[in-house]
This record gives sequence, C-alpha cells and structure tokens, in this order.
Amino acid sequence: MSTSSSSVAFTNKPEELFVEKHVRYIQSLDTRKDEFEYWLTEHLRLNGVYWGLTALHLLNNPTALPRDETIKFVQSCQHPSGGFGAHPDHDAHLLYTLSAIQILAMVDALDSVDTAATVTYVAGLQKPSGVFAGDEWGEEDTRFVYTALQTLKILGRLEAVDVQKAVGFVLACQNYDGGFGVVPGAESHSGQIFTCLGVLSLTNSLDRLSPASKDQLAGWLAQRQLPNGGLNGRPEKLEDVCYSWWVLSSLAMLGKLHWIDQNKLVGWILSCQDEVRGGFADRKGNAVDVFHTVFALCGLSLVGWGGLAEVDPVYCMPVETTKRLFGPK
Amino acid sequence: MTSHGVPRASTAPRTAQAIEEDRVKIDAYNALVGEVQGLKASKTYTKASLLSTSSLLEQNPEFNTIWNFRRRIVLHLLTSPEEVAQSEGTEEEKEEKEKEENKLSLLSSELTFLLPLLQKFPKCYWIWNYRLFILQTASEKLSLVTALKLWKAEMGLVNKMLSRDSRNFHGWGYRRYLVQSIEKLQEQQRSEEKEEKSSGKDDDEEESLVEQEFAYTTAMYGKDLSNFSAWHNRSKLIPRMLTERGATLEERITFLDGELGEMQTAVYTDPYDQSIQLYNHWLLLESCSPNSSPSDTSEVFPLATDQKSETLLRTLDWMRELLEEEPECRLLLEEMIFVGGLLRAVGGGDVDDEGVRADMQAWLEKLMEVDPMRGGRWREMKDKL
Repeated sequence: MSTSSSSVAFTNKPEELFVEKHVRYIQSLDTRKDEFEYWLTEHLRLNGVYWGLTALHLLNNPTALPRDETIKFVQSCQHPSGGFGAHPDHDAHLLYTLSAIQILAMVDALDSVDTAATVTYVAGLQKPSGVFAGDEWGEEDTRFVYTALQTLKILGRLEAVDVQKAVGFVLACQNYDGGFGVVPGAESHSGQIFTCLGVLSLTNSLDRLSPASKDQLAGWLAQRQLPNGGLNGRPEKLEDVCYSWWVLSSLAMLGKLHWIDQNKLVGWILSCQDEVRGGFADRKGNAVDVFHTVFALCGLSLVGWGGLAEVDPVYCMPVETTKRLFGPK
Repeated sequence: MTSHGVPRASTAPRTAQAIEEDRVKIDAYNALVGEVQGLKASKTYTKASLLSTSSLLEQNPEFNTIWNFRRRIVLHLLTSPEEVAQSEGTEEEKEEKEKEENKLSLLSSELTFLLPLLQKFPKCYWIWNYRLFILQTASEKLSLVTALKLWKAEMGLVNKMLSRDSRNFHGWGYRRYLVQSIEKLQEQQRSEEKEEKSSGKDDDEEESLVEQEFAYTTAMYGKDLSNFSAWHNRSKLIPRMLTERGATLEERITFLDGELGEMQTAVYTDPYDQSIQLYNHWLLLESCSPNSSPSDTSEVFPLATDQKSETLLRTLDWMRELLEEEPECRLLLEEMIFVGGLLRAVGGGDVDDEGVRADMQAWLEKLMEVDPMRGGRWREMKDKL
C-alpha cells in the first residue's frame, strides 16, 4: 500500500500551510447564507459536510464542527428507502449516501440512522452486469460501483451484493493504457482510475491486475505531473488541485508514490492556498471551495508533509477512522 | 462549491449594495425553489409544473432533484388525458397517430429546451443524463421509426458539442452511447421488417456505424493531433472494424503498416505529445506482444515472430534518427525503452539482445537526467534491466 515518504526531502516548511485559516474557512461555510452561491449549491450540502469534516480531521481539528448538529443534519437527509439526499427534500443518490455514511463513520455515530435500510437501498441499485446505478433513474458509472461498495464495506455488509460481478465490471473498464473509464470502452480518466482502484483495493482484488498493467497504469499516472509540479487528469489537460487526490491516491494504492516528484507537488499545492481567507482553489489565484480544500489537504497528507493527520488512500477518510472500522492494516 | 477556473474575488469586504443585490436574487430564487418543491410534494404533474422546473433549472442545472421531478412530469404527461388529444368518434388509426404526434411533440420540446443549457453548461452530468432519459423514453413510447429519427438527429448535436470542445469527456461518452443505441434500434427495425415481409429477402442496408465513427476519429485528429479522446476511440473501433470488413491477414498487416506510418509522421510533427505516444503504444502492444501468435484468430494484428521483430526494429530505427534531432525528448526516450523491452521479449534471429539492453540502459540514464520528476520510476526500471 502507500509507501513511506520519509525519504523525500521537502523544501516547504510546515508553517507555509495556513492551518488556522483553513479551519476558520471551513467553519465559516455554513454562515454564508447571504451569498447567492450558498443557495445554488444546496445539492452538494451533504458532500460539503463530508469534505469539510475530512479536511478538519486532517488539520488535526476533528471537533471544529458541532457533532450533534452534524448527526442531526445527516439524519434529516435519509429517505425511507434508506438512501440519502444532499439535503432534506432532495432525492436520494449513491453520491450522497456514501458521504452520509462516511460522515457518521468519522464521528463514530453509525447507529444514529437506519443502516439496514441503507444496505437494502444500495443493494437494490446493482445491475445484472455488476455495475451500480447512481439512483432509481439508472445512470451507470464506475463511480457508483465505488460509492456502493465503500458504503457497504463501512457497514460491514459487502456480502449483500455480488462483489465478484462488481469487480468483473470494473476490470472490463480497463484500457490498454492501464487506466479505467466510466463504462467499458470509455477513455481513461484519473477520477475514474481512483474509483476503480478503490473498488479493487477494498475488495482485496488488486492482484487481478497483472504486474505489467499495474506498471503501465502507474506510468500513465506519473505522466500526469506537469513541469510546475501540479497534476492533470488526462493527457494534454491543465493541472488541477483535485487531481492531487485522484492521481496521488491511485499511485499510493499501486505503491508508486515515488514515481513522481512529491516535493514539487507539495510546493504547487501550497501555491493554490488563499493566504488571506483560507481554503484552496483549483489553481493559483482562483476562487477557493471546500472540494478543492479537502483534496489539497489529502494530497499533502498522503505524501506525509506538514504534520497533517494521515489519510487512507482507499477510503479518503482519516486512517484513524479506517483503523477503528477495519482494524490496522 | 466545486468551482473551476473562477478568479479569486478581492479581499475587500462586500459592500452593502452587493449584499443587498444578492439578497434580492436569493429571495427570488428561494421563492421559486419553494414553489417547485411544493409542486413536487403535491405530485402536480402538469404542463405548468414543467414550465416552473424550466425556470429553476435554467438558473441551476446542477439541482438534480428537480431534473427527477421533471422526469416524472414528462412520464405522466405522456400517458395523461391532458396531453393525449380527445378524438372521440374518429377512427382508431387516426387517434393512434394523434397520440404519437403529441408524444413526439412533448419529447422534442424537451430536447429543444436542453440545447442552450448544454451549450452553457457542457460539463454538467445531470443535463446529459436527462437528455438520454428523454431519448430512452422515446424508444419506449414512440414507434421505432420515429424514435430512430430522434436518436439519429443527436449525432448532429454531438458533432457540434465536440467541435466546440474536442476533448469533452461527456461528449465522447454520449457519442459512443448514441452509436450503440442507433445500431440496436436499426437491428430491431430490420428484424421487424423481415418478419413483416417474411420473404427472407436480405437487404444490404448498413447497420454498423463503425466505418463512419472510424472516419470521424480520422477527421478529429486531422484537425488536432493532440486529441487523446479521438485516439482512444480509434483504438476501440479498429478491432471491430477489421472484423466487420472481413479483413484477411494480409489486409490487417497492410492496415497496421498504414497506421504505424501515420504515427511516424505524427511523432515527427510533435514528439512531445502524449496522446500520439499512447496510440502508438496501443498499435505495438496489439501487434508485437511476445505471447500473441498468428494462429490466434482473436488477434487484431496477428504477426509471426519475425514480423514482430522486424516491425519493432523498423520503429526503433526511425526513433533513433529522431532522437538525434531531439536528444532531450523524454517521451521519445520512454517510448524507445518500451519498444526495446518488447523487442527483447519477442526475440528472433536478427535481434542483438545484449546490444538492445545496452541501448536501453543508456536511454534510461538519459531519462534520469532529462526527467528527474519521474526519477523514481526510471531508477526502478534500470534496476530491473
């Protein structure tokens, strides 16, 4: 799994990360009701809580959001079907269901919702090909295989679905370049690679990939690093902070973090901070958001820089949480 | 909350006027959300509700719950008396025709509604999904001929979207899905026609779109060599196309040589482009992997060992020439190491194994010098050599 990074000589000093400002930025997110943007992003509210809470854990401030309110909000998003919406009155979808379960796992409150119903909801979305639909309307995507299986794994109920078929579907999405796409035949994309390697890792099936195809994939991922140190998601595209997670966690799952220049990546991620108001943007000088903030911090944590709490590359949660759930690796 | 490419605002506090302007927008928006959520809760599946969702989705196409509500409205209208014309006393056939026309008009107006939204938000998953839902609904609710027309018209849309952004991930995925669906519907149509005629007459109408799609990838990389999406799609189309052409061994090899020749020109044009390199990689993997054999009919390019080593040696020759002009090109060096590795694995009479190994070692050393970012990878490779 992720190789130790102690051998990397980092040039950036820990004080270049504005921990306090990032904590305050995340705490401020729910007080921005006088901004139009706040209302336009209601469909991401539950994901936003997950991103913010994960970021705070990595910043060693796990209690900076009120626990009771967090739990109440998650409860208010559950549907009788067992699935979760992004907000009360929003329809259920796997993308929100995983966030809900991850939040509860992090604050150790899985018993505060009807998890048996959640298992039924998730299991009901598996299709004969092994893939999962995102919701009752049927969109199929390797992202949903990951969200479904991680949800069930956290709940200790993987056996509720056909895991081998799900793995088979993921393997059918692998391309000659080693990468994975949305569905069989689709082009390789770093986000999709993360979800597919995640599925293979959490089902202990990584060895279904041949050593040659793993090397090919790790080589493709290493090519994502651009001369400025940042990572892009596909060939000939611009770098973006969120790929500091999708690409890096994939390299970690393959045990090849050392195939890129981690020091240069750290410098580039840090350049995307808003030094005044906290938070990270997709690229230097752009507007920050909590999505890019968490994935910037996850990237920094994964290479072992800056005294951040350790992140688990498979689950995108603090290792402290995954250890509590699954025991030490 | 997931903004991309938005410039950072100034750090000055917002003025009272800016806050007030936002408040007015927020109040209007929330009133509309309240109205639509109310209609959704009361299951008011009417044309008026449809219009309310339009206003909201035009402002916020990421609000997926509202798209779902819209789906329910459309499904309801397709079966409800409000939509289906009352035509008592007319012949059954005429009534059926009117029903079909009303359904078509509703579904077509949905497709029209989505056009400006897709152009404004080309990366919004929910809009693309909703568009597919309308087409899938057309397949279920309309006659085969009418549905097929709608699906085929979509090719025009996706051409337009991909000409605006030739790498749009959603556009390429949508295109592949369209092709699959059109082929399926055409096959269905043909089998229905056969049944009707029951004469067993075999018309030669082409069902497969593979040649058309292959030509599209050629046109796309013709405009811009650096289009990984087009090269990727090409690699997925070729195996099927050669099978459908009934290509003989000889024709396959001629085809391969043509593609490899194109690649040589492309790499010479831009040796720093990864998308070309990856496609070249695919061609060589499909043709020159050590374990493949010409007797295996599932092979795309079934070469014998000597043909493989000859192909690889030929490739290395022009790469060596190019390296003299571009001695620091890391992509070229990486590709040469890949070709060298294949060559050693394939073997064959003319291969000087020790010579290739020594070359690879030199290329790796050069790579460590010109590409220190990925030094960890090159060191590992060198250790294994």
